[in-house]
Amino acid sequence: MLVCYKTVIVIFLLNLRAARDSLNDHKDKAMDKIMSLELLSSIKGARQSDAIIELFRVIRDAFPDEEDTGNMTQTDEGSISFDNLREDTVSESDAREKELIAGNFPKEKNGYLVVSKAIED
Amino acid sequence: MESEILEINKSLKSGVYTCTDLIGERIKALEGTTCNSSNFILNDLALSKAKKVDDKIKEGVEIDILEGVPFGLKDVYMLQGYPATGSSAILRNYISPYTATAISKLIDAGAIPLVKENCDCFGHGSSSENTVFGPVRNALDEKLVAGGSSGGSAVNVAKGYTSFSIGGDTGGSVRQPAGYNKVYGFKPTYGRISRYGVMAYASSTDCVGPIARNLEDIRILINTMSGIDPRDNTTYRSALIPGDIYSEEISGKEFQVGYYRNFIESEDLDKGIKADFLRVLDVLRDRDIVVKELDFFNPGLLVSTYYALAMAETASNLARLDGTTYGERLTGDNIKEDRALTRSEYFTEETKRRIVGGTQVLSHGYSEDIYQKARHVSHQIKNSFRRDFRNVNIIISPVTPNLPPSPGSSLDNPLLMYLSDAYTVGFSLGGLPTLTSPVVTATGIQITADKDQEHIILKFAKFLNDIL
Repeated sequence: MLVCYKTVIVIFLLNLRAARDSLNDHKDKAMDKIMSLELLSSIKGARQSDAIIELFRVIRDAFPDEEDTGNMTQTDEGSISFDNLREDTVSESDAREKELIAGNFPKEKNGYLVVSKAIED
Repeated sequence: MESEILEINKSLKSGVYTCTDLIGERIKALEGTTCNSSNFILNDLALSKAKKVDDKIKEGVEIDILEGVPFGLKDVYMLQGYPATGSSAILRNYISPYTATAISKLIDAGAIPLVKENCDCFGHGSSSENTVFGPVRNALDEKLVAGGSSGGSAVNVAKGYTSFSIGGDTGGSVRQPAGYNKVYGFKPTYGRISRYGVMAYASSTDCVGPIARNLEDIRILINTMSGIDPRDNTTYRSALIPGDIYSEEISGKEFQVGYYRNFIESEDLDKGIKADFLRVLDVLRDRDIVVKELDFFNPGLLVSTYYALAMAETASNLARLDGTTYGERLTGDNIKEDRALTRSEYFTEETKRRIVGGTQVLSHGYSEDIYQKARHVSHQIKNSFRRDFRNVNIIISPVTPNLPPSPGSSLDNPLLMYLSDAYTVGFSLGGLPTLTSPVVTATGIQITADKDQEHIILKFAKFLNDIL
């Protein structure tokens, strides 16, 4: 009976390890995808330049005063004020604007914008 | 008070020349320049508007002060029906569907758009060499760079091709070329002038900035373009700067001027610029002005903080440029491939460098170490300014650490180019109004006041002109 219990526990632990390995593998793959600068920036062969590495080294090694960020108001931050938002309504472009927008389409067919297939098989 | 805008107004009204003659002469000058300052000269539009002004004068109708005054706009502004390229290849054939708010206000006041001006691509540069239209040359010495990113705008004003130009200032892009070409360049308080219709570089510090040959024109232009715009929620209501601002006296001990000791003690500061700057402090002291030494952040940290944030924002803002709805497009096997091919082919090396840097700074692991830290430092910079302006009315500083470089050096050494913004980026992060005045040092002097205190800057700049 004891042997049977031990077997069950071993199988459970093996399954657990397999599940963890699978999860880590999945995470690694996902992380690879997340961390690919080429994919994120949509720029082929994207890699960080020496100038940027040096630039970012300065801020990474800085020791900002943790205490010195208090009392910042929204206005101080130069961010959007939520007190005076415009109406959340669609405003129709005039005919001239529509014509110019359509004129800027990189590829057009019968007045519509043509894009490549966006949904993969 | 000297003003080219008022001078043109007077000449047009008294018939010294017609508006058509004025515009014709300016077009000829722009076409003949060797500075490469213009992307598109708007001949037909400008001449048709000039004719309307002449007709109005002939009919005896009173004209407003900006009517008939020719101006240039950096090629990052929308002007309905005309190209807006950002000096990039990806938007080489893009036509603006609408007009930017700041430009609309000038046109509504009667000013005549004459030229779309060459600049660093999407504002990415400090020399106006990162442009698909070819590098802009300095107005005073063509063997030097024009500065940037609003280099074409500063050159056109310095050469007298435009009566004023509208540049864009994110980290010094109006103030630095103004200094290199010895004209006035103003970065207003963040939010004073609407950014609607300006190609976004780093939205948290982007500002519309006028460039002109005298202070009074800067005042007129700020007043014309300021105000709330429902299309830009960062805009706020500001008071007009009164015309008699220059007649107010600056009295000795009541007016206190600060300067940053570490800016002046920096080993990277050109010796001539340093000597000239120290001399003006003595001149002020001689006039009984209280001059206070202030402590500020290390210039290297300011540059690093600014670029970490600006690159993150430009990576986000330029994500829209993928050839899907406008701009050039290259076609691959699927939409992802289309995007990558298009962006890889049509962005310049400097733009790619900034997008990649921004993408990295926002990604896992880097966001905490760099981006969040940069935001933290940026908060501290704002707090530091708040404390400083409790003690002084004005802060003065050099515009640049060095003289304008030779062509090519900025592109060859990007880090050096970033560091050339050392004295301008801090005020951008603070959202503060700052003027480059073409006096004191070889690349001018920056005059900064607290938020929404533009009038104090103009008053002090005039005072400085009078005492030097």
